Amino acid sequence: MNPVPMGLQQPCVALVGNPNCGKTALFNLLTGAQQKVANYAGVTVERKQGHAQLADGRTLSIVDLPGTYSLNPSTADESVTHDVLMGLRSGETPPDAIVAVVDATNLRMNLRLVLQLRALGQPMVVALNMMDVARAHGLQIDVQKLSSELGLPVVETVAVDNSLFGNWLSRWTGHAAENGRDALLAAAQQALATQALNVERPDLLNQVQLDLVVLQKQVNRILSVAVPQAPRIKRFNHHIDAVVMHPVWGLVLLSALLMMIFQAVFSWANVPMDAIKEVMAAVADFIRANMPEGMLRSLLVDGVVAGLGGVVVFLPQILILFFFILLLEDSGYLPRAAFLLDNVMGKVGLSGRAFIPLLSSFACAIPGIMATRTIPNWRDRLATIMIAPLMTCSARLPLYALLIGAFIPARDVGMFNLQGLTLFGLYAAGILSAMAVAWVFKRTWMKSGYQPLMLELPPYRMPNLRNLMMGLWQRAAIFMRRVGTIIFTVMVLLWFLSTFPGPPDGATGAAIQYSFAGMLGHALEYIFAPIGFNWQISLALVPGMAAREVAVGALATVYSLSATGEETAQALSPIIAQGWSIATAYSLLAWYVFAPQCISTLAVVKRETNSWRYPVLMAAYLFALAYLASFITFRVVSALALN
Amino acid sequence: MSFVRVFSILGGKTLTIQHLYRQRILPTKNQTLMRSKQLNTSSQSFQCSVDQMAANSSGTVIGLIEPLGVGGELGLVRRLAELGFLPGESVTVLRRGPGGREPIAVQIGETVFALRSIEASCIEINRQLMTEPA
Repeated sequence: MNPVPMGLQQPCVALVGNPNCGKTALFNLLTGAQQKVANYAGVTVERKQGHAQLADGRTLSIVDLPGTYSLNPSTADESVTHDVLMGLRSGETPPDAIVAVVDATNLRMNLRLVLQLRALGQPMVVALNMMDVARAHGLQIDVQKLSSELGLPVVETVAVDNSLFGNWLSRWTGHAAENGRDALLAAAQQALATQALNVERPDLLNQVQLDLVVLQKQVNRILSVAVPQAPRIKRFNHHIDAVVMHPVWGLVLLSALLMMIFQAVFSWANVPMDAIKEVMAAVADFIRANMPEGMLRSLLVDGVVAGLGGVVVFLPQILILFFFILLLEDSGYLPRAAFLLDNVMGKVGLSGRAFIPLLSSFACAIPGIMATRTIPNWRDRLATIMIAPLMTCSARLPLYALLIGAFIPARDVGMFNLQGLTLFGLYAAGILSAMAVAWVFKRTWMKSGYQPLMLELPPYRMPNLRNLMMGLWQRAAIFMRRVGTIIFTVMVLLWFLSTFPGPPDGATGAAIQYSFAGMLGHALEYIFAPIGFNWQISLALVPGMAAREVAVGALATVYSLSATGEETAQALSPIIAQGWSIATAYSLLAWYVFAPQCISTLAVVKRETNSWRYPVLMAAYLFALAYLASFITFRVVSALALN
Repeated sequence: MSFVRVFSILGGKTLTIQHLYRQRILPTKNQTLMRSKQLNTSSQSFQCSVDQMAANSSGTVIGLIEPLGVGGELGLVRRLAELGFLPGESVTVLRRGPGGREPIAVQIGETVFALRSIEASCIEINRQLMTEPA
């Protein structure tokens, strides 16, 4: 976001190309960055900047841009690319050179944009990316002829090594893989030095813009010279799609996949979770054994270890969920799932393009809301933003897992586990309410007659092991950073609020009852008692606003401090299993399906919509729905439990 | 009237995207057949739009037309052209959504797009008839 003056010390090179041609993978290769890549259009929605070291020791500034089909933007993410290229972003000059990234397996489409970019008149190099895939398909591209036909230098690149251990092997054996990195940088440097800048580019642009038909003729002519057998090469595997996109089998496969993921979240995580619990218990015991009783010991044991440990324990489950999400993202399956569910989306008035932003929201609503930039129509985009928080984000997983572990028996139901089924049900509840809310929104005040789809379905690709590991590592790092910063701060703050002021002389209950936190909890209990929350839960909802996982840590701290006996080392799960009624547990689960309290989400909504109106509306409607759902759940389960 | 324009596109005269904009006409099957008779240069081909094609059928793009009522302000036709739905390119409908309706998976060149019916209806194609009678 910080405008860097370009062109003075470091020449700036922009990576431009069609969506999903591997720009970000190439950016990572050039700069050593670790930006997210996946196999669908629209992963990158903002410009990313990095630096590449050249062979002679100098550096180039590299800008990665969102993919675009033309220089005539239709969506917010394409506008980013357009504005950067034209130098329309305030405080920025246009890039000094362009690297036009093309998917070697789909030149027919990619070269149209190359010809449009060429008309901008800037120094330019073509990166012929995914050359390994092209070769594997038997596609022979005459690079010399392509280069002379385009009048531009063409460099073959392989941004992602698709062999299973390719990148690692080549690193260990010392042979740099033939990925074209150095050749591309050298070509870019040479282009900067030799190709002159054409000043009259706006006119040229207009002319080229309108003559798409002429452009395609040129492309076809170039292809007939440089890639004569191209028409006979098949880029797609239609046999897989016959099952995956089948109206019946496709949906069966999709539900089976989702069920399997939720099963795995519970059944695979036991061993690492137990290990983390034991470590935490050992740390608490160690501190207790080696420190005199007092304030500091209480802060460490009840505040830090109980609070943070209560959250960290859910890391394995989060990583298992992301393992599957990353696999699906890399394979090219997601746009097919969007195809299958387009009917449903259309019925509630959403764009089929809303599917991928909504799916990203299962990780976290923030990237999901950013990804709505790929939706062209403003009302469709707004409707998608408004329902994104209803997709169950991974920060809610700890609370779900805690309550399910404490209240739902690990019984087998047919071939499924009841705990996994409950989790599936909670996710489904979120999705169904999102659809209902979208339906109401689109019928009341965000009407739009037609919602464009026009979604590209990429060829399948074998998921890349290195990407997968890196993605998981990043997830773990993000989670631990949250634990170390926001969650740690909130836990320490909560401990102070829960400890001061101390209890009056002769008090019988736990000290926390008389503290600020105790008072706040008891005050909030008036609001939340009708939906079955006790004062401890009411209190835990407050720090949950900073990050949803904190609610779990807060419960751990509050209960740890509430305990009067010596059994404080007990884990949270058995305490609540004994202390709460089942109606309270279900009510809290229902609350968290809607969970209006996440400040960072509201802040992103404010930024993306440029108005306070929508975050306020979002918080209000989510709070109302959460309260209503919890109220109904609490009353119904209470009534059933009595019978 | 507008057939003339279609022919001018086929004939490869001055081809700008402006020629691709014209009013939506003849949405019904009956009229499409009438039109195919008028156009009947060879008895094996007729004109229709992509939303009228069955799964696993192919054709060649002739031009793009504005949809009725909606889409104009969204630049739908321009977008389709930018995605590669341009005269002379071959189009295959790979499969259709539940009940043979939306969405439609369409391959243009070497790219596959999922389109909604209204988008597919903007793409006019010349269809080669293989097995069915004309």
